[in-house]
Amino acid sequence: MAMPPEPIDELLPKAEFGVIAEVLEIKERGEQAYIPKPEQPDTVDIPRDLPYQVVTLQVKERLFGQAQAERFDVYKPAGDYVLRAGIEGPFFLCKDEDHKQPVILGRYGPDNYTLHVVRAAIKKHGRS
Amino acid sequence: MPVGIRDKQLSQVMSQIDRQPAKKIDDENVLQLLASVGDRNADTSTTVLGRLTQPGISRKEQFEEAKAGLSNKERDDLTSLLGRNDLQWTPNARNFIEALVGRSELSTENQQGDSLALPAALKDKLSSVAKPGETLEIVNVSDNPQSADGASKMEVKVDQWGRFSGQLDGVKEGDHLRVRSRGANGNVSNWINLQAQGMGGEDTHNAKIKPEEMGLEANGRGSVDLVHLGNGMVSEPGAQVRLTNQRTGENFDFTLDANGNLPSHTTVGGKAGDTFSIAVSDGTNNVDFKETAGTTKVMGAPEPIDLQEPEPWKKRHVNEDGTPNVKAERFSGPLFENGVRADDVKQGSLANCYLVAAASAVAGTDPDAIKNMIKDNGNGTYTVNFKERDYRGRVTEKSVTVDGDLFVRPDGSALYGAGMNSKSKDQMEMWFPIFEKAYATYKGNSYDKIGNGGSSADVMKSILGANTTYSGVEDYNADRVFDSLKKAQENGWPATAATYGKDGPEAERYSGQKIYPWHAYTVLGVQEEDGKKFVQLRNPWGSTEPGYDGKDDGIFRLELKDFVHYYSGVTIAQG
Repeated sequence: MAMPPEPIDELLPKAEFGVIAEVLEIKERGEQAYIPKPEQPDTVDIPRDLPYQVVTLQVKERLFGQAQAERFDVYKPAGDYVLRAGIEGPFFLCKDEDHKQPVILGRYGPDNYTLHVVRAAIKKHGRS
Repeated sequence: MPVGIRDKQLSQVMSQIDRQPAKKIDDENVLQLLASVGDRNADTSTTVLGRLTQPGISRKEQFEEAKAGLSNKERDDLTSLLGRNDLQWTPNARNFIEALVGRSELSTENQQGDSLALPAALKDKLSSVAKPGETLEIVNVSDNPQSADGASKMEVKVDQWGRFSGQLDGVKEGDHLRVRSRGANGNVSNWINLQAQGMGGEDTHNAKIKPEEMGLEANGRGSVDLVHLGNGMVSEPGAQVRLTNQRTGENFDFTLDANGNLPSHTTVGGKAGDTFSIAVSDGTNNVDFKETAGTTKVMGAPEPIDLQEPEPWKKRHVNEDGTPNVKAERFSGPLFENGVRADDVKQGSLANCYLVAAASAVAGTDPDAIKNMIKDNGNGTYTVNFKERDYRGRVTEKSVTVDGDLFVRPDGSALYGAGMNSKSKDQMEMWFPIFEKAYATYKGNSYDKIGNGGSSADVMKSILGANTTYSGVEDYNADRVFDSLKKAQENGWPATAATYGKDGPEAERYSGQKIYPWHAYTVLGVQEEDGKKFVQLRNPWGSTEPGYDGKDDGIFRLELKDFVHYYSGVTIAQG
């Protein structure tokens, strides 16, 4: 559902590391969950989860924290967006107990914020 | 001169009586007969009549007054009157004359001569209202305050000697009476209030009350004003009234004024829709207000309600310890600042892009429609009028009143819809968050009702009462979609555009584009440049757009071929 991204000041503190990276490959994709049928043709924004994905990132730039490697797999949770190979953007990542790969944070992942907003926030929060 | 009457004074009185068709000698004019025969030496008949009509004089005293001046000639005249068959006597009047001529004993059964027996205390009070010869109009407001305006009044006649006749039914000890006098010429005095005393027995007659005279109106300040609805009395003067809010159980006691009206500027605790029971006491009966006389309901616009967060978000908006990290706070910024514009609005943490985009579209094309639908009540509340169309196409309005309490993020900014000009509680332009809150109330008293997707068409209809059309890109070619948007622009019709993206394959095309799936955008307009067609759009987030034009304001334009790649259709409200 197309709600605005979380405020970066709320999301950034939750991230263990951040990179600018390219999606090299979609390695795994979950099943599409039930999608409610819209009542009218212009109906949008009905809550629905797009499938989870496991994708391989190719790091282009380290923003803050310690990235594992130049290339590693990450987990995109079920939610409001899906990734496709070839796109590039800033990723905020953290590790959790439920996934063996780092998890992408943010309602829209690399599309949450423009790069200049990301850089300004990193500076504001003193992340390095 | 009547035949056979030798006394001059008596003859004059009888001349008047003989001119009457009924030729009636009653309790009033018999005193003139007595005066005409009671005159003697220096006492003229006028002087004697004055003594005969003194308040409190007894029948026996009247008899003695007349007898003191009675001559044999006058006795013979009276005897001749008794022999006339054309005269109509009342028993009392005839007894007076028969006693004077010695035919019978004077009857003293009704010494005052009143045909209406009244206790002295009440008679004194009534005597102060009416002069002899006038009629008293009397309303028992303890029994029926409905008749305080004179309806259902009783009439008591006061003769020229101050005696009372008529009916005064049902008056009990302690009853409150409204009384006025009416002269023979029809002139009436002002109503005055009396209390019946000396009627005998105990005061067991409680006051009656007229609930329909009493209005309760929500004042928008969290309480209820007491207002007098009609022109009549609410209850008897000085009655004690208790209102009990049936929702809260709270009691409110007050005393009616000397005219049986509500005390001015009385406020009780409650809100629109509350029902109050009414009890009344005259100070002697029902002093514990156990007997109720009816109920009345609070009128007025519904009080603003505290909207709850949508259930799904309650789980997200929590601190680590599980306590909510959002709360509602009062915003008091200007309702409108620098007019109404499409870029005034900002979507918050609600899945209601359809609503934000639609409000923005109307704001851009018909700002007066927004201004006219939202009214600042000046007391921290706002009333928003939504339009509804019935099955015949007729447009009606439904009003919703909300206050300025908005959910806020930990940083104090609005959690849901906001104005773009400021995050400050006292500076943020309020029209959009108020519109959003009112729409949530309108749709079911919860942000949950509007925060799970929806249709821009519905929102634009509710603002404009207009018809809407949807043009799907898959059904129309790109140029036809463009033409429909161009026509909307020329006519000042608001338009929104929706993206694909309900499932994964559809959503993939938006990855990395800063255009978002399953999302509604405001169409700001169309342009044609160098043979190319463009659609200008606005992200209801008020930020985040494809490309970077130096301003992250969510406003961007797409060439038509790209527009139809990302957008599934457009919705237009036809004015």
